[in-house]
Amino acid sequence: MADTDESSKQIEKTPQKTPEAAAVSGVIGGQKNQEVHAAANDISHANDRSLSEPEMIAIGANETVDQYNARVAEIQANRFQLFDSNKPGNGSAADTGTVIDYPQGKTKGMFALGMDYEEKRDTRTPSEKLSAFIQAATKRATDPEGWKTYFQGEIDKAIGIAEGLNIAKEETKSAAALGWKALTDGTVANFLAQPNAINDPLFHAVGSTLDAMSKDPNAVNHALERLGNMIQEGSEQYSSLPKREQGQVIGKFMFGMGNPEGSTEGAELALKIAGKVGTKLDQAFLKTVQESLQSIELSAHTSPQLAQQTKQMFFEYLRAKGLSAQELELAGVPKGYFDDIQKAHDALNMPEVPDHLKHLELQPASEELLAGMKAKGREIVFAAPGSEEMEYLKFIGAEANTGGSELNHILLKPNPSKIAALEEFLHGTQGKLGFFTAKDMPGVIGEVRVKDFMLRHRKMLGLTDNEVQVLEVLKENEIDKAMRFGYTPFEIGEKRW
Amino acid sequence: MVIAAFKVQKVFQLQDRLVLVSDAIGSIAGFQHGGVIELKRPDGSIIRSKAYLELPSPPSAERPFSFSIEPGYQKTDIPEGTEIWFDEGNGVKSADGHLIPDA
Repeated sequence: MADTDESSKQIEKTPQKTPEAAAVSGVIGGQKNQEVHAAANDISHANDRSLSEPEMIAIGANETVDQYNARVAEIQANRFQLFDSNKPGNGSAADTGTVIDYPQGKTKGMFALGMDYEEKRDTRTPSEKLSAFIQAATKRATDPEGWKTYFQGEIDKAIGIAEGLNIAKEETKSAAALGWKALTDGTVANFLAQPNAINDPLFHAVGSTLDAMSKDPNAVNHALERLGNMIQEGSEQYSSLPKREQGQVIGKFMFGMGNPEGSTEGAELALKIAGKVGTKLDQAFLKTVQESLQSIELSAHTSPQLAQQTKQMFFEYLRAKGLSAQELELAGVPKGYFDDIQKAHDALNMPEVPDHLKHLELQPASEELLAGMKAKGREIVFAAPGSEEMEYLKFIGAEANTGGSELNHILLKPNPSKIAALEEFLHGTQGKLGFFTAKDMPGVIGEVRVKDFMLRHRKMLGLTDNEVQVLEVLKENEIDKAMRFGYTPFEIGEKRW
Repeated sequence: MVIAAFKVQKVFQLQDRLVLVSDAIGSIAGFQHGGVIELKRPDGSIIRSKAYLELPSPPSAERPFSFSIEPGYQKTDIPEGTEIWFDEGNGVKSADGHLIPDA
């Protein structure tokens, strides 16, 4: 008590804070006041008993003395034990009959629930999270103007995309009309007679492009999404445009990329460069190339990964046109621009996947994987350049092959992809299980089933999202093929052969 | 039922087997791995052999159907244009209609 008396004397000597000072500091009393409070608190709680003291732990109903003593000993041995309140049997003292106490002050601010320890993390129960979600959703749902604005923006963008495609199409039509005039007045006879001249009227090519796009909406959607994201992220100017104009940008850009003739301006421009017809390049194509390069450069600042993906798409696009390095340079592509992609492409034989997936990076088959296959009795032969094996693969247009009476002979091109090697290995497994002999499973259904197996065991096989995406498309292709042969969905997907 | 009249368009001598590439595009429904086929050569002579699936990757509906035959034959034994005859069952009917017993 002597200490308390001393503190009291000091308080008397300390001037009280004015209301104004308290308002500024947020502290009602001075430091001495706090010390007095602490001392008074200690004195008043000096006889408090901890809830883990044996005398504070009541014996439970139907609990024997031995059981009670064991429970007390357990609590004493680990007084600061933490419990997961979500586990059955854990929770508040009222629910569980167990009281846990914690070191005071050591975990300041952590005693939100008083009795149970609560870490500073999301410890909400699923029902609490759901409740919070519903509250947030309700709040958003009560903002119809916000939703209306969002949807109208999306609608405007969609309209803009169509408009952009149409603008490009109309530009082509008018140019084609000029070109047609030139064709009919005889001035282009020599041009048409030359090798590599346009084979069909350009508007036919344009129509085919739009038709192809309409028949493969998923491919178009994916491409639009990627291009839209790229443009959006890469260009501040684009972001400031109204949604409808944003759509037009995407549409025009999309048209340039999707048009197999690489032209949005038509025969007239093609004729203007008739002297360079060997290059098969026209002004519109050059414009597409330049716009693409610019977009990739812009997006590289904000999203290097997206820029690389777009570069890969651009590479495939130009490669599909069969342009030489010289022609690429002529189109404005800097020398060595695609070296990194070309190197990766040469190093890995990628499966023949649809165009819209060709940019996806696939894992190469590792030495460990190939060694594991050999250990399982497979004979792996790499097709050397000029060998019969390589000629065979080239002739049938395949990256790999499984054959032999036991289907254990795996033929691979150098640097195969992981999924190609795995698939060939699994074909052998199918063969060993008698699918193609005793069970009479047709080869085409074996192709479906092996891909289905790989997809279902993607984690076990360590497949990437890209590989899963490719396999899903290849599986669908095989199902289509099997259906054309007259097999039923049951035979293809469910029948136990 | 005979499912025949495809022809050999190319032959490849791989390390351990002779692979015949047919002029059939895609897969051939009913072709059985290990089933017996009959190869009728341009000179009229006939070879009977078990045939085994070749499973190339990636799949392609445009790819010609290929298979291998039993060991012991050389490229020169199977000229291009050789007819391929087989049946959906365990045996195969030859060009003249008789059933070839399973080997």
